[in-house]
Amino acid sequence: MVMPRIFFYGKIYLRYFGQYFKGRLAYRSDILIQMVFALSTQITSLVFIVIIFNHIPDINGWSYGEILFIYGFAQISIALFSMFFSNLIQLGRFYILDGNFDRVLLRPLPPLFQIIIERLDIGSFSTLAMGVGALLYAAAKLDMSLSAVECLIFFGLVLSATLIFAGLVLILVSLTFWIKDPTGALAWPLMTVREFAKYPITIYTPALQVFLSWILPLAFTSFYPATLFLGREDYVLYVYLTPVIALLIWGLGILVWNLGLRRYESSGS
Amino acid sequence: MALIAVENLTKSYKTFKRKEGLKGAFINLFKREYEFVQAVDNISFHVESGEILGYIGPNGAGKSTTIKILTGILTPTAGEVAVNGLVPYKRRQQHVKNIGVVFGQRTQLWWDIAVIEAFTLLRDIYEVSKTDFQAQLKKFDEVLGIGPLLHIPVRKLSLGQRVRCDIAASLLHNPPVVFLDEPTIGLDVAVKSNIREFIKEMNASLGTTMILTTHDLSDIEYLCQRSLIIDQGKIIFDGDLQQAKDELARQRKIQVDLYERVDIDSIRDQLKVAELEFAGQNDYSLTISFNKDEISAIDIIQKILDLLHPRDIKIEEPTIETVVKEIYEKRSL
Ligand SMILES: Nc1ncnc2c1ncn2[C@@H]1O[C@H](COP(=O)(O)OP(=O)(O)OP(=O)(O)O)[C@@H](O)[C@H]1O
Ligand SMILES: [Mg+2]
Repeated sequence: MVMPRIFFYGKIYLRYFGQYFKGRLAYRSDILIQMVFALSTQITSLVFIVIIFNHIPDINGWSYGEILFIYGFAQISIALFSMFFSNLIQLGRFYILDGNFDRVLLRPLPPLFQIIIERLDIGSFSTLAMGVGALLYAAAKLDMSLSAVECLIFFGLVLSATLIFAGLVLILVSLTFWIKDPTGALAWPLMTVREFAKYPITIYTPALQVFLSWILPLAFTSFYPATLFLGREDYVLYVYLTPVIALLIWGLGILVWNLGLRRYESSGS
Repeated sequence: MALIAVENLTKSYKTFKRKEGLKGAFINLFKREYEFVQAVDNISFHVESGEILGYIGPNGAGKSTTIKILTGILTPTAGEVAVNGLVPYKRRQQHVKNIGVVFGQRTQLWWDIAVIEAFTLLRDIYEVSKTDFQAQLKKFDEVLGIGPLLHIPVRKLSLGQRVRCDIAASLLHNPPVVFLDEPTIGLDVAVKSNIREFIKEMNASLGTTMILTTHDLSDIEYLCQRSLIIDQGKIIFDGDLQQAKDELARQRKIQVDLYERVDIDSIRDQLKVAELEFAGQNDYSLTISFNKDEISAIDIIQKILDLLHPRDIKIEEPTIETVVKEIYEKRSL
């Protein structure tokens, strides 16, 4: 009996997931400390943001609740990226330079799939908790109530936003096949620029707005999809574009990845 | 058709020349000079089903490069390869289901998890049934003694323990073709013979086809009917090394220990052997080198017994090492 492939990959994903936790549990005290530490940093920054925004009732036509909502949305997509895709950043050092990519190529699974599932970042759970906290607080502030369908759309947009971010990272780290980069520096610009995308982009200069929409389209990971729930009509088109952009970026990412794969030269020993 | 076919295979690595120092590093950023390393240079060979092929050669000869191409890790620069009818680097995912690979230098297992966890993960990846898996584990425990290691995280295993687990892991899915790149490196005598035994058994009972790379020529003597010698990317020998030992090493040596010093020139005249000299510091021992096609050892010994009263006589057979060394040296002339 041949199990449909999608179930097979799902099963393997869960198996890696379970193994990862077992492996991490070997360092149980580390995990606890890490979690407590990360959570307290996140809570501090959340409190900080709440206080600051409370003093600025309105920026550029965006109310405090709206800004917090966008911020929370951005935080959630970043957290989901970190939890499920951040191992991509290890490609240069751990996989290519340290020779672990050979091992990956010897398994009958797609190499990209293996790298994504080999490590999770559960530390980002605290970022996620903070994003959800910010979002719920903002929603309460704005008297927002979502229907079941709207909730589904919300999850679809969060998924698209996560995939856009992950896809951009994929494109950048795939360049390590050409430019040997042990530090993961190729993904750094993304990590910096994503800070801008946590706020309504209308507060920036037009040039920066174009950059965030069409060059490194990080506005699609927070601002544009979030506006749907803020009742802003001006950006509806961008909301619909969000999943399309996610698909386009992944298409491009996989293309660059596959081209890079052919250049892989292993290492000397 | 041969199970493994390699035709005019060439692989060259592109590396860039690094300049020394800070200034050099700065220049590197803007101007890169590339160099090509011809690791494998137009080689061809076939391996039949059920064969254990020894693949030897000095450091940097191109052995691992060949193995990496055959296992689908690397794409060749030129030429063709097929394993089981598949081109490894084109149909990688399908290809690796049919092969087992061991790199003695580097583990294929996950560093942080226990051996048995890694095995069950592999079981799921290769879709091995639970009953087959249990049977395999039992077999590996009997021959490789891995039972006590199963619950230890891979990072805590010693080299020998790890290699045994790696071998077991590479064979869990019962692959018809196995590539072993220095599987006995750094192992103690007992583990080494254990592993050799296991390889031989696998080949005999399941007809597994194997390519074995090693610097320990006794592995080759024990396991391989046929060997390839590669040097600087070119194949310089293809055949049975045992046979080559007989053919190539015609020079043999007899060492004669004496009670007293004798006149070497007179013995040389009577023996009619040109190469005759004192060996060692005490002059009480003679070494006679002879070509076994020209004179037999029996004749020499008989004449010696007529002439002298030796204390002891030793005949030195050429070893496989000397044969291989001779082949390497002939090549570099
Ligand atoms: N990834 C790589 N990039 C650049 N050059 C490489 C790479 N791998 C191997 N080489 C070079 O190619 C040549 C062949 O290397 P290879 O690893 O195939 O040798 P080998 O026969 O396995 O040697 P050893 O017995 O030392 O393992 C060497 O000159 C080596 O420096
Ligand atoms: Mg090697």
